[in-house]
Amino acid sequence: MAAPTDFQTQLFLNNKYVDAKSKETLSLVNPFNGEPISAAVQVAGQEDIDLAVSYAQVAFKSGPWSTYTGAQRAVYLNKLADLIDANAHKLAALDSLCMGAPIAVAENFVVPQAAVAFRYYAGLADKIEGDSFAAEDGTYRIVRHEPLGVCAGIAPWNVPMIYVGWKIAPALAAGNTAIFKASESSPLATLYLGKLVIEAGFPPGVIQFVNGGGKTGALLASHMGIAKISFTGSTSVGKIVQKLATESNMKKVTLELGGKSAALVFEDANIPNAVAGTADGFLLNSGQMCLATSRLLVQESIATPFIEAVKARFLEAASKLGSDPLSPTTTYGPMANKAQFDRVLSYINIGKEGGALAIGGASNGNNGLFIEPTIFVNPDKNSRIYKEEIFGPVLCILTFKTEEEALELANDTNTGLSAGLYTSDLNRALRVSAKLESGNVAINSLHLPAVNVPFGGWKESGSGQELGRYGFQSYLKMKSVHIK
Amino acid sequence: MASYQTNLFINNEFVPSSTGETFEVYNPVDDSLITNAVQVASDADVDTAVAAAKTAFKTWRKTPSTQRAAMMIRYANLLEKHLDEVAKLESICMGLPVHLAKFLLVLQVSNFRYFAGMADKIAGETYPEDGDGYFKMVNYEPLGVVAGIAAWNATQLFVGWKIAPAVAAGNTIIFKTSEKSPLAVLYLGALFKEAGFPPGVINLLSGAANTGSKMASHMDIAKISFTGSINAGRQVQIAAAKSNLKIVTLELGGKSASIIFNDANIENAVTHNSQNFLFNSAQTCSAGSRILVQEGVAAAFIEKLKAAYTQIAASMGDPALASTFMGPVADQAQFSRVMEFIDGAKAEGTEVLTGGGRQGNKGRFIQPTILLNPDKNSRVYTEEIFGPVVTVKTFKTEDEVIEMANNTVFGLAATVYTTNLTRAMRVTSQLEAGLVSVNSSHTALLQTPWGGWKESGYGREGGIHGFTEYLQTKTVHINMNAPDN
Repeated sequence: MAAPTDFQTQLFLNNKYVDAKSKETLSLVNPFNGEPISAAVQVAGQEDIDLAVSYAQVAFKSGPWSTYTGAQRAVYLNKLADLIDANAHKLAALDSLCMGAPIAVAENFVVPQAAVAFRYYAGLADKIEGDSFAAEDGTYRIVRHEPLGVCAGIAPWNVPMIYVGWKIAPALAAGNTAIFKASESSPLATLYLGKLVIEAGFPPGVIQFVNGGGKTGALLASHMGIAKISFTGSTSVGKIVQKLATESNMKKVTLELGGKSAALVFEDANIPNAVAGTADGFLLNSGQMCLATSRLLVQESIATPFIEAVKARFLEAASKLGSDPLSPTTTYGPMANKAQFDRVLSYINIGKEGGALAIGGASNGNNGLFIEPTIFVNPDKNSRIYKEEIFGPVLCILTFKTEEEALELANDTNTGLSAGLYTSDLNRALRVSAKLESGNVAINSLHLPAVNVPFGGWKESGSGQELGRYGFQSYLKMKSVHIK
Repeated sequence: MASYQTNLFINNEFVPSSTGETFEVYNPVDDSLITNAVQVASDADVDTAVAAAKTAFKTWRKTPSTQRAAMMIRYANLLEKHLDEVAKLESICMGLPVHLAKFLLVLQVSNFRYFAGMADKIAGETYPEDGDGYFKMVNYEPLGVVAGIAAWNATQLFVGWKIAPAVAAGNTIIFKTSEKSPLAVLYLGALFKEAGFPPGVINLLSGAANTGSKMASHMDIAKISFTGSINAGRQVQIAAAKSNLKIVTLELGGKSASIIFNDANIENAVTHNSQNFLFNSAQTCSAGSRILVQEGVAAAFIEKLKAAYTQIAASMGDPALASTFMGPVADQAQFSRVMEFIDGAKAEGTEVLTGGGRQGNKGRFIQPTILLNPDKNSRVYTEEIFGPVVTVKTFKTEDEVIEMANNTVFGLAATVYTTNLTRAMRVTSQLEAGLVSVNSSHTALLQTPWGGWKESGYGREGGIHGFTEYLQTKTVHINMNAPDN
């Protein structure tokens, strides 16, 4: 399909598209062909963020939103979900144009998941439950759960629209107001949502969109008027967000950071299923997923044929390299931007020096930022390609003999976001999943977050969680009231 | 004569009774006949409905919860567009003023949306091996085919409380109206179908005690939720036990106390004990029908209450008019019942402060009536009247009034009027009632469960408790130490 050409480029504040006071703009590039996107998206500076926060505070404290019942808030959240579904193609195309995701995936999975999140949290809006206790010692006690205030969300560029759902929906369901910043690489779909926010009938200041990169993000993380920030992105930036939050007003922080997750394939696994999960599944979004199982650990007894099968899937994906992400038949896209492209290539070069390259390893020089699906077999366990998150189509494969060894390998990382486990043995499945040091474990499939269970990382993969009731609780604060 | 949907709604089709038996419905505003064609669900019809619901359950329980929720929300949106028609049907059958009928319909719409939001959040529990070698799960699963029987006083609210949580939880349902008010619910069949509910998921029957009895004793119904009189409720429970031990929820009557302390805001107490009491001609299970007022404010309160009752009496009228607050009682049978209570009180020499008779000479209108200080063993003080008759007694101390309030076999509601926070907490914690309000008559709110203590019934409707009662637990233990093959 032809690339979309009508874009919103301003900030979306208080239900209006307005010019930023800062004069900076973002330069967007289509990663498929390297061409600039003619959208001079305006960057929010200090004044703009201050304005957004004050609008959000008024909306929270005294605007109509502050008077709505949970059931009323739910009506708006459900309306926005319907509008997102109705505009899925447009939103998917805008994301696809900016960061190269195949439009079929964006339109059929990523964008609808945002609507799913809005609907899920709409259902919780009128179910905020506190506690009450009898006066055994002469004092009644109740626990109230109250919203936080103005909540900020910062999203990365890899599946942009999903974060709109994950960060805004629970915030609003709990009665907060939200300020959301998409990645500077992929702001267009998110900005378009302003139109839908108005159409859904939200009062001004309840949902606002600001644009910018690290500087704008830092303004949000350190703003004294923001009660909570939810950040998804790299571990190093996550640590900065935490620091800025603490040093300013100790705002609550949720971090969804990186991973170097392992997939364990035991000899009793269903092999075709395991290949699909660890090869095709790994290549989803060209490997640019925080939960990607980028370390494949295969039991020795099946390793040789298994690795061949994985290679074959990678070669199959490579054969389709170079298609336009905006074409509905494209399954494999480029890296999202030049910085990421350079980063992944530099890891590949490190890996090549280590001598473990099995297949791939080259960029597809014809057009755009494509990198071949790449496999390193038995890399040095101390090498950077084995220890650090690459966030691209680069898979490291190791073998193991025993279950104990597999677990030791899998857990030998300072990350803990996801894990895959392929086995047909019931007890092994329960036993090993219990011992994996990971916030999410998928047995016999690729791990995809589901809205009803919490998604969060252990160790340095993050703090707090999103999704499920747990994610909802993180947008509320407790007040204990003692009545004598 | 206007045409009404009078057929049974089974398996997404409107069908006549298998025996052709019908019954009549009269408009209590003038005792005119509305229709004589309402179909009676025979035993065979109940069997057919249950069979349809049983078949539908196999698929419905596996339908993704988000899809179940989407149908419920579609239905809620449809019903919102049909409020006027449905309110009118309810009103002509049992005399509820149309705007109050709409109020109950809005509650139904809210409940469908509320329970839709719960459908995909049924979370079980897991427990780790913890030394006993078993991985443990507790899962929540639907019951199967469930039944709901509505009383006639607030039918549309009961649709929200019985059908919405049942289908949200994955059950299929057969719902029977009271013979006093069948038409509005049968109308809803078309909306359920339009909303996309598959055939057999929701079935709507009209009929009387025989139909209810067949449902209560059906071997393939897993649970019955009954709202109505205590006598009928006992029959339901006995039939359930004798058949298949189906789960029973009973929402029965009340003789609820309304306690007014010296430090209450009197105007507020008067409003809630007049206007709010007389809502639906006081045909409410939770009605605060025993006013207990502290001596210090009794005279002033009673005088203001009398004025309020007199004013409301003057404004009684046609429930079809938007301006009417209070209409007739539901029908001839209810009229005779309430009048019998009033006549009995008069015969005992109880003072009738205001009202005490029929209003006008057309239709089933009864004057809002205040009975002063009946004997504490009298029928009007101990039994549920279910009409616009309130008794007033005075008390001296807090301990005394708590004992008076609790001195009843019922335990549905109790209300307390006071401006003292600690007194409010202290008194409410001692009242033997499932529903308590402070400085207000008790009303149904979305999140809180509705249900009584003692002989007012058991089980709960509305809120999360109302939802979990449509699920049953399944404990699963997995032996982690079983040897490999």
